[in-house]
Amino acid sequence: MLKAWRRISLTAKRRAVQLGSLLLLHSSWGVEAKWLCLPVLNCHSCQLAWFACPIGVLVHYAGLHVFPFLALGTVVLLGVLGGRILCGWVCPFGFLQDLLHKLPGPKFRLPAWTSWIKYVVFALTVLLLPFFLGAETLASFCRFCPASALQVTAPRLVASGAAAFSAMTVAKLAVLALVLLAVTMSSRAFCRVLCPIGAMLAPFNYVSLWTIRPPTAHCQHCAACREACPEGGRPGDRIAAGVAPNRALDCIVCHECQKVCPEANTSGVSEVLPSKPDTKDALAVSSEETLE
Amino acid sequence: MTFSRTIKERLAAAALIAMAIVLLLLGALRTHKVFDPVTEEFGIVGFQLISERELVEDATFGGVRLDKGQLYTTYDRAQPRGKRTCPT
Repeated sequence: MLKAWRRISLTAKRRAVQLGSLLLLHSSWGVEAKWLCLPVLNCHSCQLAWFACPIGVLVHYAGLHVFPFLALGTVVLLGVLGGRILCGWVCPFGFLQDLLHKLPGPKFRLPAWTSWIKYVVFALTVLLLPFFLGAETLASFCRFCPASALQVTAPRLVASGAAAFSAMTVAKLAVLALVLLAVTMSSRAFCRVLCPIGAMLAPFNYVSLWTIRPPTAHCQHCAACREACPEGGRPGDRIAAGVAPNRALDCIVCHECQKVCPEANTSGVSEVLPSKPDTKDALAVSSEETLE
Repeated sequence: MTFSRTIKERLAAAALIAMAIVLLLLGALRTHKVFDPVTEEFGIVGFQLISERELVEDATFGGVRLDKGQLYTTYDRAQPRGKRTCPT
């Protein structure tokens, strides 16, 4: 079983984990653990959800003027252990975005500055506005969260019909439609621009215990990793500088850059278990590259 | 160029893990006073002490509200609770 798992490609493994987590996170028919925050975009108001969404908890705690010890402790701990690995491997909404981006149609990359918007969204709609206006404010993130619209608002509309129809319902579903349209055209557009969980976890990428080790320290600047990065990042720049590619705010630790590296495919190095280059040789190459 | 973590990164990670453990311990030990307006007698409102865990669940389902710096329950806590629906 373990041998068979090792033979599967990295992308297939990621899809399997994403599918598994989608099913597991929505399998609560009775027992729940909604006191525990799992930092992925998954609405706790969904009847089948096991865990609480940290954004929902932070919004409501801000409204109640209570410091969220448990929620923050969980987010910090998971953030330090894996950085944004939950975004890349576990988040059901991330999985949906990955699938939608496979649809044919026009594709484009968002400009780099758009990735800063999510920090403003996090500060305003998760912390400041709920703190000053109360958790039930129409300006809180939960009011226009696309995951909540997909998991709660849309099913309720189907079940209750016109009774569940309101201006807020229309607005929430319109945001969902726009987000779904955007992610078909630009890979992980929601994660990149709006996701407050991504904004919360992103700084942990710099210190997380999880390290992506590229198969080579001798980067050829072929840009294959840049093309493969679902977040539109530049992992090659960091590899060339001797820094692990996941040491960046926008990395979702998907390992695609490691997989597509031509060095991994030509030298027979495993895509998951990287070689450790000789430090002296690597440093020599590094200084040569710098001189060039 | 071995892509390994630097000393600074290791120290920061250790400090953050320690901070997370402290936050989780404080969260596990902390209790909150939740007042119940229904129990008011002679101007005195009764309250219950609930754990942080309960408050996480209550807060996300609109089970408590803030009024003049105090938390008030919005439902009868003596009744058994089933799955709760979204307040938003």
